[in-house]
Amino acid sequence: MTARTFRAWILDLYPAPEGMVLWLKAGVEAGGRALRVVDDLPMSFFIAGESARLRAVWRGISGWGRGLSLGKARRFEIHRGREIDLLAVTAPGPLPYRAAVRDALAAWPDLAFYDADLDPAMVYCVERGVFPLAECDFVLEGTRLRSVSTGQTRWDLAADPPPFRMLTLRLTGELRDPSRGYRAPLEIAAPGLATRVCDWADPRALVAAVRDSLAEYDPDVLLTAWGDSFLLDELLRRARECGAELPLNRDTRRGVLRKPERSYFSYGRIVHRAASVWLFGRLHIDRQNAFLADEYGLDGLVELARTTLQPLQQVARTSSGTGISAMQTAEAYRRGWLVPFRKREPEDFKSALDLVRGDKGGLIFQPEPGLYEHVLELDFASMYPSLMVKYNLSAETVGRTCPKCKSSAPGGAEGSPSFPHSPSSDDRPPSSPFPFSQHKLGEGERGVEGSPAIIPEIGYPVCQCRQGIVPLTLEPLLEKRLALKRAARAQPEGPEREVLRRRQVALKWLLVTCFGYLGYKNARFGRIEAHESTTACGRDTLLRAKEIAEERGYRFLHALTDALWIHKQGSTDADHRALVEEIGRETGIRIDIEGVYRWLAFPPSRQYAANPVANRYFGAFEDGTVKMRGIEARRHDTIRWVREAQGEMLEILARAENAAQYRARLAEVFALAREKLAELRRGEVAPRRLAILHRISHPPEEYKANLPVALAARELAAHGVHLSPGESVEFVLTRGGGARPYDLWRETDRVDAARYRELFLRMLESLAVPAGCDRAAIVAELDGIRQYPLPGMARVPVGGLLPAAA
Amino acid sequence: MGRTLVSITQQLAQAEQRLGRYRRALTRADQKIFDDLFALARRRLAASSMAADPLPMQVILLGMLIGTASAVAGLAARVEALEHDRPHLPRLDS
Repeated sequence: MTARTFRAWILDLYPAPEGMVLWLKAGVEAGGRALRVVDDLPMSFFIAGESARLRAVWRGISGWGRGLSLGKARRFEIHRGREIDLLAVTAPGPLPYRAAVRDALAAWPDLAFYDADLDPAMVYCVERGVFPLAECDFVLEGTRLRSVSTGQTRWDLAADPPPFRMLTLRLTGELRDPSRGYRAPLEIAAPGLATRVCDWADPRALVAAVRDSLAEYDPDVLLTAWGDSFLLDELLRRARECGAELPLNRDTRRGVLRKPERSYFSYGRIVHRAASVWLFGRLHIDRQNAFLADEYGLDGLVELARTTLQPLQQVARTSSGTGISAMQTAEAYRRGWLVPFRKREPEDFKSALDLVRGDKGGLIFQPEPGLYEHVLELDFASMYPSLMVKYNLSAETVGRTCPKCKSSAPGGAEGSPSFPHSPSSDDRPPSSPFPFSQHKLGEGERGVEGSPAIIPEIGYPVCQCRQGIVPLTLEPLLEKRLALKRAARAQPEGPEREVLRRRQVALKWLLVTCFGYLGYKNARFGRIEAHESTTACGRDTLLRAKEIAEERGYRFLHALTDALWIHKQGSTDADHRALVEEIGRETGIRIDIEGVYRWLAFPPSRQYAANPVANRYFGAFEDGTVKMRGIEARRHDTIRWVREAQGEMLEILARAENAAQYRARLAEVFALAREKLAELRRGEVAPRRLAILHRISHPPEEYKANLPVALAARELAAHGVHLSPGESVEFVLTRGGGARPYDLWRETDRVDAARYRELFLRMLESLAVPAGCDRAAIVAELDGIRQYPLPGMARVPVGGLLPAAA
Repeated sequence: MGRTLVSITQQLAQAEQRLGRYRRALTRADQKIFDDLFALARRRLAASSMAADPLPMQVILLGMLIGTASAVAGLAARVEALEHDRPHLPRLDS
C-alpha cells in the first residue's frame, strides 16, 4: 500500500482495541473532510518495592501473556528526590495497559505504582510531539498512521483553530432547563443550513430531521443546550421507541458514552455535575454544562485543550484543577519522571507552634467602612504562580535539600524531609529582615544553585538547584498568558482582540487553580508545605508593598492577598508609576495599576455597621467605569429585578466625580427606587425577573424546615423532577409565606411584594449606607416622609468607636 | 484547601460568641462599647494573623487597645487644634 501525506488538525483522539484512534480534520481548501486513522501506542507502568517482591511480581505478570513485556527501569521519583529501581510493565496498547494496571493493582495492592493512570491522549501527544487541535502533517497508509509532525507548539500565540463545522441543537424560546419539565420545539441550526424547527409530538419526524441534518452537514461539533442532562438522551430514547436509527457519532463502531451525574463537596459547598454524553469523532459541547465556558467560550476551550493536552470534549467538562494536574503529569512524563499513583506522602510532622505559624492563607486587611475619594488600586500579576516560579516552590523542593545545597541549608537534610524546622526566637528575629529578605530576588532574577531560599515566617528551606515540577509547568503558562494579554492590548477593539482576551482568561483560571492544587491532599504533585510556603511568601510580598506605599506617604485602606487599595491626596499618574516600579523591583513580582477611583465605597457588615467586610466594594474609576465585588449586582444568587435596578443606580452614581456628588446623586437613586417599588406593588414585574436561584444542599425530602427552597424542591419532586444536592432550583416567593418553582408558575399565583421589597431594600443599603445613610433614613426617604438631604448624611465614614487618628 | 486550624477571623468570632453571656450582663450602653471594641479588633486581623500567637485572645485584646489608642490620639489632635484656635479655653494639661 502506498503512503500519502495529509495536512489536517487533530480533532479528537481516544483509545480503541486497535490502538489510538485519531480524527483528522482537513482545511477548507481540502474540502474540510474528517478522516479516522489509527496509530500504535504502547504504554508502560512501573512498580516499586523490595527486590524479592518485584521478582515475584515479574513471575506473576509473565504468566498473564496479553503481549505484556517486562523489564528493569530506573527513574526519578520526585517526592524522594532521587532515582529509584523499578519493574517496568509495557502493554501493546492503551486498553491492554488499563487491564494490566487493574489486575496488577488487585494482585499487589501494597506495592507503589507509578504511571498507572495516565491518559492515553496525553501519552500519545507527548510521544508524538503533538497536541489536541494542532495542525499537523500526517503520512498515512490506508487508515494506518505512519508518521506525524508539526511545526506548531502548544505555546504558540498565533495558531488558528480548526475550521469547525458546528451544528446547534436547542429548544426554541428562552433558555430553560428541559429536565424541569420545560418543553418547546427543537431547533436545528447550522451556518448555511436552513434552520429546522421540529415538534416533539411527532418523534419519527423529529428523529429524521436530526439524522438528516447530521448526514447533510456532517458537523465536527454538536453544540447543545442541556444536551448532557436531557436532549441527546431524550432524542436517542425517542429514536429507539420508533425503531429509527440515530447515529450521533461519526465513529460508527462506537456507541455514545454516558457518564453519570455526581454531587461532591468543593471549597465548603456542594457542587453538582450533570450526567454527560460523549461522542466519538464528533465533539459534543453542552454550553450549559461546560465548565466556565460562559467566561471564555469556544476560543477559551480550544486554548485549554491545546495547553493542557486534553481532548476538547474532556476539557469542556472538567475543572481548571484537572487541567493543571494534567499539565503537571504531562511535564513529568515528558521528562521521564515517575507520575505517582495514589500518592503516599503524608504531611510531615510539625509542632503546634509550627502549625500556627504556617497554616494561614493570604493576608486580608479589613477596610474601614465608608466612602473614599481618589483611591489607587494595585494588583500583583498572578502573584501565587509567579512566587512559585520565582522561588521554585514545589512538592519536591520545599523543605528538601540536595547534596549541592546541603552545606548552606539551615535545617535541611539531603533528599529527606527537613521538618520540623522551627526557628526559635533566638535564631529568627521577630521583625524584618527575615532570612527570606536576604534571599529576595529582583525582577527577572532566579534562585542560586546551592543557596536555598528560606521561607519567611515558617523558615522552610527551598532547594534552588533543580527546578521543581510545579514551576516547570507554570513558567511557560505565565509567559503565554502575559503574551496574550499584551497582544490583546495591541489590537484595536474587535473580534480578534476578543479572541485573545478569551484565551488569556481561560489560562488565568489554570493559574488561579494551581495554588489550591499545591495543597490538595489528593493532588499527585501537591504538598501542604509547598502550599504554606506560597502563602507565606505572598504575605511577605504584600507587607513589603504596604511598607513601600506608606514610606511614600500613601494611606493604607484595604488589602486582599494580592491587591491593595491606597490613598494619597493629590497623587499623580507619575507618582503611581514610580510606586509600582519600586514595588516590582523590591518584591520581584510584577504589580499593575488597576486604576484610580474617583470614589470607592466599602459597605459595612449587615450585622453591625462598625464591622468591616473584606472583598465587598464598588467604585467608579476616573473614566467612569464601575468596578464592584461582592455586592448584589455581582452575585449570581441575586434576582434579576434587583440586579438590574442596582446596575441602573450604579450608572447614576458613576457620574459622580467625588464623594460629595455621590451623596447628591443619591436623590436620583431614591427616585428610581420609588419607581421600581411602585412597579412591584402594581404587579408589573414579571415572575421571571423575580425568580430566586438557589442551590440545594440536601435531597428535597431531607429538608426539615419549610424554607422557600425546600417548598419549591418538594413541589418539583412531586411533579416527578429528580433533584440532586448541588443542583439549583428557581422559585418565586408567593403571598402567605409560600414559594412556587418558576417552572410551575401559574397565572393565578400572586407575588409576595413585601418580601421582594425587603430584598430591594438590602440592595439599596449597600449603596446608601457607605455614604452615611442608615436603614431608617432609607425607609423614610422611600416612604416620602422626609425630604432629601437627610440630616447626618455628611458623616463619612460611618461606624467605629471614635474617630480614628489621621 | 489544606487548612488544619481555624483562621484568626473564625477565632475572633468564636471569642465574641464565648463572651455572649458576659455581653448580656452589660448595660445596653456598654454592650455598644463591647461591639465597637470587637470591631476595632476585626480591623486589625491581618496583624493578629501575622502574630501567629497560640493564645489569640492576647492579640485580639492588643487590636482593641491599638484601636482605642488610635481613637484617643485622634481626639487629642482635635482638642489640640481647638485649643490652638481658642487660646482662652482652659488647657487639658493645666
